[in-house]
Amino acid sequence: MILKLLVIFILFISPGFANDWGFDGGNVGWQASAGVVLKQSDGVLNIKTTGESSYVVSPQYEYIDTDNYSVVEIRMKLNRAYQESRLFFLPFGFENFDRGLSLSFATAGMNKFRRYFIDMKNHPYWQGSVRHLLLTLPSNCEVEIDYIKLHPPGFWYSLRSAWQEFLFFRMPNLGTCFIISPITINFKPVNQYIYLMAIALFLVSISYFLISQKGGFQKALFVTVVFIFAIWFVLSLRSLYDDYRVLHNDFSRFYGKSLDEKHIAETGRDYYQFLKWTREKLGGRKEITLHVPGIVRWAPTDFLKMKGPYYLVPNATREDAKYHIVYDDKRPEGKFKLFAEFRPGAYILERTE
Amino acid sequence: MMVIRILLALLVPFLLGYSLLLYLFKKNELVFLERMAISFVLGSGLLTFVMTLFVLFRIPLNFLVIVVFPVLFILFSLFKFRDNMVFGFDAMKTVTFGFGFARVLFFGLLFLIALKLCYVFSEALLRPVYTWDAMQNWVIRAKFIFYERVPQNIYNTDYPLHLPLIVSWFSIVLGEWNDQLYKVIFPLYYSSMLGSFYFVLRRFKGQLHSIFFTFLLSTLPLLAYHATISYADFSVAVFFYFAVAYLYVFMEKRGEGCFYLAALFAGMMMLVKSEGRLYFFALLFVLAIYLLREQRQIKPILKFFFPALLLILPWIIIRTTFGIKGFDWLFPETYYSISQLIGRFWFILQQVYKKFLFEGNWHLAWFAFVLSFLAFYKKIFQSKLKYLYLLTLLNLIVLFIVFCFTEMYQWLLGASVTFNRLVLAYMPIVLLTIGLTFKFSSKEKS
Repeated sequence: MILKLLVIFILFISPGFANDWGFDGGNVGWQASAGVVLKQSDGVLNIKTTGESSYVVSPQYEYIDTDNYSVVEIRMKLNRAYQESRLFFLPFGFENFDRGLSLSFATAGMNKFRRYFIDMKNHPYWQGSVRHLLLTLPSNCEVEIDYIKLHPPGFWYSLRSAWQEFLFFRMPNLGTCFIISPITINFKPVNQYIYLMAIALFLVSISYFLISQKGGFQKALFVTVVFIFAIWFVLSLRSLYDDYRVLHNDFSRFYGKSLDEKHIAETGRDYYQFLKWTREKLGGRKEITLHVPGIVRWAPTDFLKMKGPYYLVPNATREDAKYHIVYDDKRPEGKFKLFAEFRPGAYILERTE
Repeated sequence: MMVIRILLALLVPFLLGYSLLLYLFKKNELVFLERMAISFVLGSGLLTFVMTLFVLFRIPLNFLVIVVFPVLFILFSLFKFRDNMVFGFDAMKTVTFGFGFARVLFFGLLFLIALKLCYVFSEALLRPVYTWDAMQNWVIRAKFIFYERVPQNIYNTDYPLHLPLIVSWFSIVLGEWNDQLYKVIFPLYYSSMLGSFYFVLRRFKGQLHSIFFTFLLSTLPLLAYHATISYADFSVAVFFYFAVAYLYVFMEKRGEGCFYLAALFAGMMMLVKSEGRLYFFALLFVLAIYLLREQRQIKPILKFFFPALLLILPWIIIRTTFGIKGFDWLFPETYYSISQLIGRFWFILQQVYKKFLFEGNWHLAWFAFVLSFLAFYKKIFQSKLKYLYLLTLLNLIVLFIVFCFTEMYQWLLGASVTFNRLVLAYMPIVLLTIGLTFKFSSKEKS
């Protein structure tokens, strides 16, 4: 009862239901995460992001009526091409933004205003009243948001959103390179729709061939296989578009750089330079033990453990060797003397026992 | 100077493969472009076999030491076959249709394949090695080989030596460690496979048909992606493809050259990745069935088995003499219970359903594979195609055995890192099977 009264009270004092945020007169209550520069000028919201997890968030308690509005339209411009953004929402009854309360979408080419449509009705929690929106933005990027609008459900909006989702850039998993996520429409694998269409086509064909007495099962299957090849061809063309986006990003990141600069781009400047320095300091081939943290903020789990031994060759990594290489990790126990120091926290120890 | 060294690094394996083909095929048995496609992969395999021998006998892997035998072999072969050295350019005859829609379509598809090749070459050569297994298991060993020459630090794993050796070969020729340029090997493997795929299909199908399926193969997302990183899963797929494709050509056309070529690739496949052994025995089984059914004799299987064994033998001896530990952890200390196995079986089946049909790795290949089988099952059972289907079935059984009866099962749980990479090994064969089975019209060449 108290909760209900509280809801009524909040609804009473809140600005009411929202469906459109333009930024002609200011940032209309939108805030940014720490480290992100946000200002309004020329009718747009200018945002400069830094590291990962940069976001902007809507004013609280500007409720969104999900029954009437399910398509979010964002018009924005980025200076980095083919990135991923994620729209989080906070339905009534939830306290925190969670990955499960979000949908992702791909951004297109750079330096041009584009409209992105996200069909939220596909999300199971887009129900009742939503009291908060949060938009994550790519790191180290300049973004201009012209407006964020909400639209009622509609065929054309859904179609546009589905098409954008179909073209969504799917990078392979870079961990151990084992999967390429499926192309989706309405967040379901596109193959699912294709199989259903193929089954429908097969049933129609078999009926036709049986009625017209021109064969049966085999012919209907043949028609279905041809259909599958045709769609497969379309998917193949789409994968060429993914290739273009991969190359576009990688050319801007790597083209024209020296091998050393590329290693830095792949490994992180400080860590790579530390490894290079270590190799030079150790001189010939030595046996070493590497101490690095398992998890760092700026790289995947065990990334440092994997890259370190590779860059340190011809030194061979062993358990408990004479030389211990420490990079932002706990100093190993035992009797050591400092062999060389790269910077505080990153040094080489030599066993004295 | 660098350009010359790179060319040299590519030319030696290429000419080595080319020279070996002179022994296996008569002048007009293979079209020129197909020979080109086979040569680099075959030569790379052969070169790493020679290098494995040096590792075995602890001979330093220096440039002159490595090249002396291959160069002598190349020179001798080119001299011996000097009249047959340059093959007819009859590949050009393969584009026979006149101007019109079919021609536009053919060159359109060729253009799309070229785009894909641009992607694979650019992406491979833009970035130095950066992926997980490549760094941790494969290229790190190549780096040790380059610095040590008589390798000391490469025996900590059971992974065979083809990849570390061919990668180190590049740096040995370049005279400096370079973890970017060597990556050209993989796009070259990829192009070679596509080239061969077209010409193998072309033996049995029309031009448009062959180029269409070559295009489909080229755009399989996980395959193309793996051609840009340095994983052995891709290389094993290439060698396995060559072995199967030419064994199939042998079955259909009875060329001795194709038979031995398949045997060589099958042997080299085992030198690429440990799983190669399983695929080799699957291939051997299919060949045995073929020989018993079609030729009523089993003896020729030895002609297949021994060349392959010869290629893998040095690695077996190295493993024994250096006491390299196998994957002991793969085998459980106690037997699995029946209920455990049933549980695993259902889980694997679910994974097969999900990963074959709904992930983005293979587009619609598996669905098309099943449909093609259903649509043409009569033709399949009446022709040699049944052996390709049998082989795919065996490969799938291998997949089930690996995950059901070993601790590899843990790699299927959670993120499931190995499943698709294991399947990658025979995806080109699946595409070849579909391409050979399907007939767009009754007029098509058969």
